[in-house]
Amino acid sequence: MSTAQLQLHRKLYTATSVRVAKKAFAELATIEVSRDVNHFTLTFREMAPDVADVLTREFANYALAETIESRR
Amino acid sequence: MSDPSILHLDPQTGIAEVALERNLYPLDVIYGAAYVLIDRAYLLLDRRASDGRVTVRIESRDGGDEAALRALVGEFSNELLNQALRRKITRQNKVELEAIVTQALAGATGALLPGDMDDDDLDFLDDPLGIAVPWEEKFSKEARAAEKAKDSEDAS
Repeated sequence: MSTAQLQLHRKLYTATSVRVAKKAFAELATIEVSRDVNHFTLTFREMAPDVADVLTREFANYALAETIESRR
Repeated sequence: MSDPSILHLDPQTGIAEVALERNLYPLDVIYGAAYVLIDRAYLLLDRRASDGRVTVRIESRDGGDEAALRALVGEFSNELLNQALRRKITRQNKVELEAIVTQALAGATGALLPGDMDDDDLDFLDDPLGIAVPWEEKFSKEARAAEKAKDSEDAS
C-alpha cells in the first residue's frame, strides 16, 4: 500500500490549518500528524487511488490557504 | 528590492524553487503572493535552517514547458513586489484611512464628532432673547419701573 509524507514548517503553517486540512482530506486517506521542533510531519496511508498522485500537494495548498485566510 | 533567487528550476518535473530574504519580503507579502497563484500552482513554503530564508516550491498544476514554468515564477516575483508596495502604501496611509472610516461610521450612525461640537453654542447660560426669564420677573412692577426710567433717561 502506498504511503507518502509531507513536511510543513511550523512557523509558516498554523496548527489549526493543518487540523482543518486533515479533517477535510479524511475521506481520501488515513493521515497521521506528528511534530518536531520545526515541522509538522504528515504521513498519508490508504490513499484513494484516483487522487494519490496529487494528494500531498493539494493538502499543502489547502493548509496554506487556511493559514493565509486565518491571518486576514 | 532584489529579485528572489531561483534555487532550481526543473522543466522535467515542472518544479521551481525560489528563496526569499525575510528582511526584504515579510511573511505577509509572501503569503499574499502565494495566495494569488494558489489556484494555478502547487505551492509549498519552507524555511531553510542554514540562513533562515523562506523557500517557495512552485509547481504548475497544468504541467507545461520551461517557458511556462519561468512565466509562473516571474509572475510570483511580480506579485511579491505588488504585495510589498500595497503593504507599504497601507502603512503610510493608515492614519488617513482610519480617520475616513471613523467619519463614515460616525456619519452613518448620526453621532457628533469631536470637531463638530462648538462649545459656544452649547452654553445654556447664554440667553440673548431673554427666553429663560420667568414672566413674573420680566413684567414685575420693579422691572417695568426700571424700564420706564431707562426710557426717560434715553429720551433726555
